[in-house]
Parts: sequence; structure tokens; C-alpha cells
Amino acid sequence: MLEFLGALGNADLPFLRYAFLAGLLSSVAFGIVGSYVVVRRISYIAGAISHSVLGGIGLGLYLQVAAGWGWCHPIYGAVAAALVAAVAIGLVSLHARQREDTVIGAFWAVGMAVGLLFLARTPGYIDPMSYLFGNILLISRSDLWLVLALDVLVVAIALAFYNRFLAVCFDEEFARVRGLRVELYFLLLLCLTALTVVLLVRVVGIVMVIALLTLPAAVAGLFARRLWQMMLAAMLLCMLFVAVGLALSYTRDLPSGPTIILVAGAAYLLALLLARLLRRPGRAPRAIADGR
Amino acid sequence: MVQAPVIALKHVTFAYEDLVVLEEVNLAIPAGDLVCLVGPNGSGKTTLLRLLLGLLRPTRGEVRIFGKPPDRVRSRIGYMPQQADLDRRFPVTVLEVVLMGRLDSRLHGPYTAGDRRAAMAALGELELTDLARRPFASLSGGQRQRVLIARALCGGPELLLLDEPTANVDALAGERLIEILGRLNQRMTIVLVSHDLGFVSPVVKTVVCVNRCVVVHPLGELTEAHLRELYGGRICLVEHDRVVVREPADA
Repeated sequence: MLEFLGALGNADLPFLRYAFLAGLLSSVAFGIVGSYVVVRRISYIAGAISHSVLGGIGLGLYLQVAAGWGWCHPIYGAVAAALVAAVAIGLVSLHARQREDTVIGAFWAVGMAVGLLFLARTPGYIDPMSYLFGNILLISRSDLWLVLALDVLVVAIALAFYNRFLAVCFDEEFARVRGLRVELYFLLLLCLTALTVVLLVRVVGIVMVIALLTLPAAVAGLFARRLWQMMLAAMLLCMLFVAVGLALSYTRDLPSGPTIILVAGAAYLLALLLARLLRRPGRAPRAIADGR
Repeated sequence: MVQAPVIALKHVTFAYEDLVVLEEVNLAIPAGDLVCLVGPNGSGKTTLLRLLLGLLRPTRGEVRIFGKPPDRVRSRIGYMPQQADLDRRFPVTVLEVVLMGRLDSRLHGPYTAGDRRAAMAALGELELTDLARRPFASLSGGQRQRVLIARALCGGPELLLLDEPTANVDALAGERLIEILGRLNQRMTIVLVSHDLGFVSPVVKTVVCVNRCVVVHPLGELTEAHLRELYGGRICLVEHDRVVVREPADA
């Protein structure tokens, strides 16, 4: 552990500092958006969005290299693909709920397939691994600014719409009766999720973005009494998982993304056990205690 | 001077694709009434409620609340949905749930002091003031039901619509709810859907029987024959508040 802290301070290892900072900064977005994803139960939609991102990245790279569109950075493709997936799945969820599952599966698999196809046809060797599993150690200074910008956007929207998102997530029908444009808020939430996913794909990769989005929030949700408390706790927990994961991966020479995810997963299991133990064993079961 | 009805349905028909759920419904509910919608499952009672709430538009005919289409008078209607659809583990306090009743279609900042006062007043009316800061998840079924009624009230409605207010609630809590509804009826019109007419009958004034068509009876005139026709088969009438004394057979 001391070795890791020492390395953080080492002027010759800026990449480690950037990685650490990227992890901390992105925890803000993960905590807020992840809490909404968990309470609204849209983790599968988030998963489909994150896998569609590969399609956008593939297309973006292909256009940039093979078609010679120099301006077309893969991140534009990633954002476009994520937003298309978010809106399409959102609309199906709103108007044809029974088809939601199928559409989620379709975007998930087809998005990946499209991405891999385009990557295969792009001249030069492109390794999809760093997109799939992330490489936080490749984070650059400009990436950090992007993450910061995302954080500002996410916090601003979450604060501005807090009461309305809370109402829509808790009781959509009642919100509709009160006159809220429930469809718009739902789609806005999905688009926010899409942006968060895109910018954080670099940290742990497409396959595991959904884990950092849901696990810290899920742990927080076991103990939090109010949504903003859950968000705050999810942020802090995410920072903790990233820090511990990075330290472990550095000292034991393990890939960083998967290590972070394992730390998060282990913490979730521990939290579940803790929550179960705290539900005082001597107390009468709910059905009997349910009274006036 | 005759007051205009609070609820007016004229020639309302509603169909999901080709399945006709409600046919030629004509209904007028005056101010101050306490109406119970009854009918077998799939009869259209829920559809009727959703038409009143403006969640559905009629295929034919018109629905008017306070003389206007429901979506124009949202702030004058309070709604208590069935509890079953709510995620009980949601991280939200009782006060936060009730405050949701203050939201509307206008763009909102944070809740104002006025919003909080209205929410606390509604909680007070339902005898829930002490529970304001508690997590919604930690309440009993009856308490949660009262919170949802408080949420419906805190917008200051003139019409209250309740979907199965005594379902999922034990008898004692249910009786308390009925008392509260009777009290609220003194200042607002109430329409409730209930599958247990007998239980809510102490406060109900009008019964609206829904089974694709709609027939209205003042409670006192509702007979077993009416109900048999409505439910289309053998029915068992449970009379509450009556003790049946069996004399031992003479030896």
C-alpha cells in the first residue's frame, strides 16, 4: 500500500496520478447516475447502451482511418451510438413494454457485432481489448477535463431535476396524473446514463461499466434512507473501490479494470451479509407485525 | 340554482383496439357525493377511473370534470393509486412522498416553505405528523395507505379519486380510513373503487355498478338482485356490523 502511495507522488509516473484522479472524478457521475439506474431498475438498459458504444467506436474509427474523415474521433461515434440506443430502447420501454427485453438484447449483441466488424475492416491493428476492458492507465490530461465536464453536467441536471426524477422513479403513474411529462424525464435519464457510460468506458471498459454504475449504488441503497444520501454514499464507495482496486493492481501487477470490479463485487457481498445481520434476528417477521 | 355536476360523462365509449371495455356511459356525479365504483374484474372500473384521471382518452364521447377535460383541471383532483405497484424499499421518507403531491406541469425549483406547510398539514389531517421523517419503507400497510391519501390531499383538491383504499390493509386500519374519508367528504367529492362494497358502505352515498355499461343506484336502493345482475352469477353478500344469533334448537 505504501508502495502505491509513494508511486502516486512520483513525478515520473503521471499516468498513475491521472488514473487515480480519473477514478475519483468519475465516481461523482457514477454515484449520481448509478443511484438513478438502481432505483429505477434500468441496469439492463444501461448494459445495452454500454455495449452499443462499441458499435459507435468501431464506426468512428473506421470513418476516421479507412474513409479518411480525420475529424471523426471515435468518441463522437460512441456518443452517437449511446444516445441512439438510449432513445430507441427508451421509446420501446415506454410504448411497447413487452418488447423491451428483446430490444435490449438486440442492441447489446448487435452493437458489439457492428463495432467488431468495423474494427476488423479498419486498416492498422486496433485492439478492442482496451475498449472492452478499459485501460485507466492510458488516461490523458484532456480525458480528465472531459470527465470533469461530464461531472458538472451530471450534477447540474441531477440537482435541477431532483424532485421530478424522484417522483417519476418512485411512482410514474402518479407523476403522470400530476401533469409531469414522464416520457421526457425518462428519456432524459437514459440520455444522461448514455453520456456517463461513454465517458467512463475508458475507466473500466464497456463490459464492466455496468458494474461500477450499479454496485456502489446497490451497496449504498442497502443502508440509505433518502435518495441524495444514496447518491453521496455511492460516490464515496465508488472512490474507495477505485482507489483500493488501483492500489491492488499496482502492487500485484494485475489488470486495473477487473481488479476494481472484483473489489466492488466483494464489497457488495459483504454489504449484503451485513444488512442481513443488522435486520435483528429476534424481530417478528413483517407479515405478522404489519398492523394499524 | 342547480350546481353543475363535478363529473360528467356523456356517451363515453372506450375500446382497446377492438375490445370494447365501456359502452355508452352516461354519468353525472354532483358535488359532495361519495361514490363507490363496483363491478367484477375486467368490468371497466379501472378504465373508468383512468378516464376520470385523464390517463386515457375516450374512443367516443366526452369526459368532463368541473366542466373541463381532466387534463385541464389536474390541480383540482387528488389521486390515491393502489399500493401494489410501488417499490416499498425505495429510499424516500414519508414527507418526501407527500410533497410529490405538490408537483405539477410547471417547471419547478426546490419545494417552497408553502409546499412543506401544505404537506405537513395533510400529514396532520391523516394523523401521521410523527412519521414525517421516517422512511416510507418502514411503515405498515395501513400507514402507507394513509401517506398516499395525504399525498393526494396536499394539492388541495376538490375531487378525490381512490383506487381500492382498503385493500392490503387490516380491518382496524380500514375502518379508520373509512372514518377519514367520511370526514373528508364534508369538503370534497370522493369517488372510490372498491371490491368490498359492504366494508365501505358506512360512508358511501351512491353506488355505480360497472360492467361494460354503468348503472347508478343510491346506496339505500341497492338490492341483492342488482348485484346478482352485475356480477352475473351466484354471489355471497357479506353483511358487516351484524351479529347473527343462533337460538339453540329446542330439545
